[in-house]
Amino acid sequence: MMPAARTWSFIQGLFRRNAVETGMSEEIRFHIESRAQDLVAQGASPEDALRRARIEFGSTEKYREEMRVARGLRLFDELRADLVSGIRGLRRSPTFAVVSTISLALGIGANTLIFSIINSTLLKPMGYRDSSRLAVIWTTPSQNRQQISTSSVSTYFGLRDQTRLFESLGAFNGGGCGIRTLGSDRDGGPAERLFGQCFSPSLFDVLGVRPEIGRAFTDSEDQVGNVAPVVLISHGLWMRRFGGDPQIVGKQIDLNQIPTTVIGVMPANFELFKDPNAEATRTPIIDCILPLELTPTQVQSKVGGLTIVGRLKPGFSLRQGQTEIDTIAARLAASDKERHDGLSTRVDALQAAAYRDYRTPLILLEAAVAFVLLISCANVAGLLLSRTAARRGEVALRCALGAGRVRIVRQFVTENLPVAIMGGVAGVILSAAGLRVFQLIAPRDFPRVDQITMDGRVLAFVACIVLVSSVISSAIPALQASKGALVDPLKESGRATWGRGRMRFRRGLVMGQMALAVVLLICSGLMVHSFIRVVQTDLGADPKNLLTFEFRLTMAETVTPAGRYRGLGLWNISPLPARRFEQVLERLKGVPGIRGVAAANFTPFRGDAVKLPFVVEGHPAPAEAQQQTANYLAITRGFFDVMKIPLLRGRDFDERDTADSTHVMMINETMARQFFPNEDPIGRHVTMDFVPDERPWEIVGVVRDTVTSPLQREQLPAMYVPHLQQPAKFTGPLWYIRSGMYFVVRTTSDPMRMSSAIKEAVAEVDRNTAVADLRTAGETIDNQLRNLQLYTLLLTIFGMVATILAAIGMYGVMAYSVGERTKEIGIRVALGGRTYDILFMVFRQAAVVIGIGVAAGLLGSLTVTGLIRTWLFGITETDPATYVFISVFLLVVGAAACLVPARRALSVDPTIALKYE
Amino acid sequence: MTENADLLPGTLDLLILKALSLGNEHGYGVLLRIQRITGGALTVEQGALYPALYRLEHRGLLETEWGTSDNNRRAKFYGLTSAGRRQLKQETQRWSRIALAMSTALGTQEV
Repeated sequence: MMPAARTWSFIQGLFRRNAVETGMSEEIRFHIESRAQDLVAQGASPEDALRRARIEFGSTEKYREEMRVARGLRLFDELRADLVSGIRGLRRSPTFAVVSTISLALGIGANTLIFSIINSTLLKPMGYRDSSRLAVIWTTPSQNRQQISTSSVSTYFGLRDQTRLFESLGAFNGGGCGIRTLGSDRDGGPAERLFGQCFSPSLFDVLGVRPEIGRAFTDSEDQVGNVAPVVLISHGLWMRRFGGDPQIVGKQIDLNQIPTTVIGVMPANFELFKDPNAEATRTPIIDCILPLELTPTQVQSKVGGLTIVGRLKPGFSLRQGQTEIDTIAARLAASDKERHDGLSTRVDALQAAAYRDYRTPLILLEAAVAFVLLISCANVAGLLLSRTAARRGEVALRCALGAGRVRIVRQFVTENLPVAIMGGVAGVILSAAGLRVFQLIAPRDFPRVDQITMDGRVLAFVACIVLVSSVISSAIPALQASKGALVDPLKESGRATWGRGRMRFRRGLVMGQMALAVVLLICSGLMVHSFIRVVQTDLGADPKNLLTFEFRLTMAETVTPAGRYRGLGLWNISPLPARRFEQVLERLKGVPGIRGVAAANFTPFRGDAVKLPFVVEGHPAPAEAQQQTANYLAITRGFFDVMKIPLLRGRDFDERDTADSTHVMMINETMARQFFPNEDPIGRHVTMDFVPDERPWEIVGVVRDTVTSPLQREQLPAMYVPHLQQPAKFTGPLWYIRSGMYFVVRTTSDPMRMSSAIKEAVAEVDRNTAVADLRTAGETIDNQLRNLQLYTLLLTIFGMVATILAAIGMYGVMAYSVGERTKEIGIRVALGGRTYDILFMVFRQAAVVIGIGVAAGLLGSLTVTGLIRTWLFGITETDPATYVFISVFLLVVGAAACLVPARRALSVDPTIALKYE
Repeated sequence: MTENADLLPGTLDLLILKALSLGNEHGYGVLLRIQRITGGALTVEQGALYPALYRLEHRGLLETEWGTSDNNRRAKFYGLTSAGRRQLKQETQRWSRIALAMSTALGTQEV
């Protein structure tokens, strides 16, 4: 009715409590005295008048209380009283306080930690102006909108020109197109590999970013087939390479040996998320920004490559954006079958798209910590239940005096609040420490990892879960205590016992805890088991003391156009790169400390390989639909020696295999098994199918399988060819694999100590091509395992915390039960019961609780573990070994939690126990 | 919230509003006015008046001010707010309708 007035009088009541109370007294006194005065005027004696006035007024205390109620102050009084009583209760039973606080601290701490990470990754807006209006438009197959990929140039142009709901669209190419070599000629510094991105001129406006100094591209600088040699450099590169030169804008630098004008410097805080389709090992760091550099061929092509980013007009939702883009896509597909047939799109919020890979893991981790919190609440609830038993007399008395059930429940919840708050404070401290550790161990490319803080939103979240855990953990005991509380306990003359039902209830809580702990432990157990499998994977080659680096020439040095083939560009491959690779190889062989060196067109263990279609001479041709493909790996001589990949049959490549000799091929075991199951592959001929003048390759050897990545799910067939024998023409974007090679260097000692010697040696051969991505094979492997390792570690920690909490719960219920049955045990001992009988009694009860809990947990796990399937390698989500191990582990933990109560039961002295009553 | 058993629920609130519509008054004065306007027919335990006054103030129907009484003592005076006046009007109409309905009903039964 008048909420403002109510609130005001309530607030006044709170803060001017004394004034209100004095006012009430004064008002009542005035009333009684005025009445007495009137009575005196009517002829009563002063004493008699005052007495009568008091009687007529009624109970002042009663009315004063009603006046407080009328002002809404009673609720506050009760809350305060309950809080005070809660704190007093804590002081009376410090064990309860400590155990509950620790339980809640662990639960709340884990939740705070994960929520802090979620907050900074998925919730806190990205650092772009009005970032909630930014969206990414993906191209998807029309049957599966989950499978996103980049878009073709023509799709970008089509959408950009037709959209009305988006203020503007921009695009960037996050693939290899922005990778440049910064030449050494001008400033004398070493050649350096730059990780660049190619931006459409409009992308700056879409994102709302401006260069720190200088300007962004203009449309005229990024015309199809006519690109101006201009570049924006990052703040980091500006400082690192150019010493923060204030005159940098307008200067020329050499990028891929083309003189390029620096037109601006991006601000220090500018970051673009990592293109989800980019290689796993690429850093999100951008050294420079280049124009899109579109060729007329690209515009005609169906091939993707562009990530489209759009800014919605104010007031339009993503859903509306999606609807509009769908319409335009359908129109494009209908009007231009050649380039857009079957075009389908998906519009995502920019933030969701950027941190897509982290969303599911983080949500799963949040679910895990929610489990942990439930277990800690159950602990507090269990402890409260036993305290409640002692308080049943009090509760019954209060009910008898007219306290409603709601009032009792409220009392319990409020009394429990101090514990929850202490747990919350301790939890925040715990998670702050946890966050520090997380920031130390998280992979460098974890989104905004250095910006994770506990901001207002995190603290509000903590406040919420403190309240929620207070309610969850005290509601059950309160309902239990107030249920039918009236008569029985009073009859029992204050004896603190529970009905069997209540004991069963508490056991039920512990079963629930056990079950949740089992689910968590099985999930983490599966992850650990799978991780061990991954680490122990037989790589098929030796990564120890192995260094890899990329040596890549420019497009201009590699190819000249040679027309078109099957709708793609055709390129003449210059002999220069291959000659340069051989020169580098020869030069490195002479460096002391290098035991062996070779090169390949892929990085070992990094998961990148090109698959090409092939046919085997004399075999029936595969049906059109099921093209057979294998990894295409061009290598130098000595590759298998350096990698320590054993030759199984036939011979290795050697000096006989020159550019002009018979084309020879080696295959891996899987290829031999899959395509030559009942015959000897040696001497058979294989023809690939991607250039006009294909020549057959004769298989001369079979080598052992090597994994392409430690996380590979299946071993693929592989064809190795001498790089010198590759065709003189290459099709489409595949020219790229001819422009560079990944060198593998086997060193005699710590490989990273060789890095400067290697760089110097390579510079002697070619001072304008950088030694890029120099790292050990071990690092390449670790990089791919980092996220998995992080999730495994977190989940294992949470699983262990859950186990400890469940063990505390188990201990609590057994200790209580033994305490309750002291008399019974006393009688048994007095009647000649043996140690065995007593132990049997205690453990039978425990076995029921643990058994049911574990069984329920196993059933739960079977339904839940499918969620982590994508994180499991080498085992399935129903891996029996893990299930058995975890079950046994929890049975042992549960039994261990009963040891102390069991000892207490054994030490019961019948004479004392029986007197106890 | 115990009302005096002699009163129908809500009656006391309405009587207070009515009494105060004649002008601001302190608690004891309100009691005297109620006794006067009801001809002493409706009686309440005197203390019951105060929770009702507080409730009405809390609902924003009354405003209060400390002042000096006729016998020259400090006293808390109550007065109607505009919301209070509206409420009084509505309640009076509602009451008249009920009273009419009741007396009609009871009258019919006697025939």
